[in-house]
Amino acid sequence: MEYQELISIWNSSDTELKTNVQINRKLIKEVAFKKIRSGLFEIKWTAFSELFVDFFWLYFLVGFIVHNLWDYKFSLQALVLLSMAIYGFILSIHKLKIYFSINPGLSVIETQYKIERLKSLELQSLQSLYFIIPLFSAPFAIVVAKAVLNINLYSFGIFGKVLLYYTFGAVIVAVILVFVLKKFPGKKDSNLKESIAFLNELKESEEAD
Amino acid sequence: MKESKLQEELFIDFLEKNKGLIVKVAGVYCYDHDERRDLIQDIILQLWRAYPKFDESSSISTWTYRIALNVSISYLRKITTRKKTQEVYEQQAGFIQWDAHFTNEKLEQLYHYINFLKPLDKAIIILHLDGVKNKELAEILGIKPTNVSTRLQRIKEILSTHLTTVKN
Repeated sequence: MEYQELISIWNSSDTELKTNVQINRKLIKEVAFKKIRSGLFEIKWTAFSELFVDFFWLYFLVGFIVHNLWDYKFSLQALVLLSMAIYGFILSIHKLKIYFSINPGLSVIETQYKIERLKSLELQSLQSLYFIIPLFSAPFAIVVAKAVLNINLYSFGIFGKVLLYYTFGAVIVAVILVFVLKKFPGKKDSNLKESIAFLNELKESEEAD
Repeated sequence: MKESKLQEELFIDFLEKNKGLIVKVAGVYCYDHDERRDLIQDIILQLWRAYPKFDESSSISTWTYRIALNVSISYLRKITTRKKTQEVYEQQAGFIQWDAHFTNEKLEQLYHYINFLKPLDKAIIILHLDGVKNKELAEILGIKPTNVSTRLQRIKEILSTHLTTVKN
């Protein structure tokens, strides 16, 4: 089949579409003009909320470290939490920066690249919770108990030791979880793989230039 | 208030002129009738959202293609659209109504084989078949015109092979 024939087949639908397609003006007025949200709405507000929470969390941790600077049992745990909080803060700013740079003036590839980057960042941060929660729950408990209730969890004899073991054990649990997630990927992981594959396809399109 | 009413009327006129383009793009990205209706609604919602910001730095068709293709390619819409247009489904109606059955069998086959192409290749073939020049096509997609020519050649070969096989 000649290519010209393809073009004429394609254009044959134009007349049909002009008469066949009807716009539902009433419904557009009732729904479209009122319910407008970007497809990335949830990501934007999640990033804003994370930024807000991270700001206060950072403020709290810096204050805690300053007050307990020479008490390494506490300041080191707080430093571990601080590093995670800084990472989360930067990640939220990065996501918002990408979000606000998306506009209809961008090319399709640029827009898709930004959307997929946002989506993959969102999925990656969600997956990272699987090892962040076991890894950082012990430092979190120690720091919060000390700061809010002025309780030294290390002083609870066997419980203090258990907490220390828990901290080390959490590292092993996190490693196992990452291994299991890699071995048996769920739906979220397949979405992430799909997103990364599309990002690579977009990169290839740019590199082909 | 008057200004917003005027903008609504202008937008509906704009939709009337571009309804064919929207249905065609959605048809290429969604073969299933219900999914296509879902996609068309999402395209219209995003067009309306962007409409007040249209600055005429590009032609209205270039702008429409960009948004329609972006909404279609992004699979994010699969997650968000159903929530947004729930009310529309409840009313069992769409923003645009059309008879989904093509009277031209060859056209249906063409849509069927375009459906097998990669998302960006689909965008290239839609724009090319609609008569968009390589330079404008490259501008819409964000690739170089030389890259467009190479990819177009490959797409044409794929489509011609499929359609010739069917013909024989």
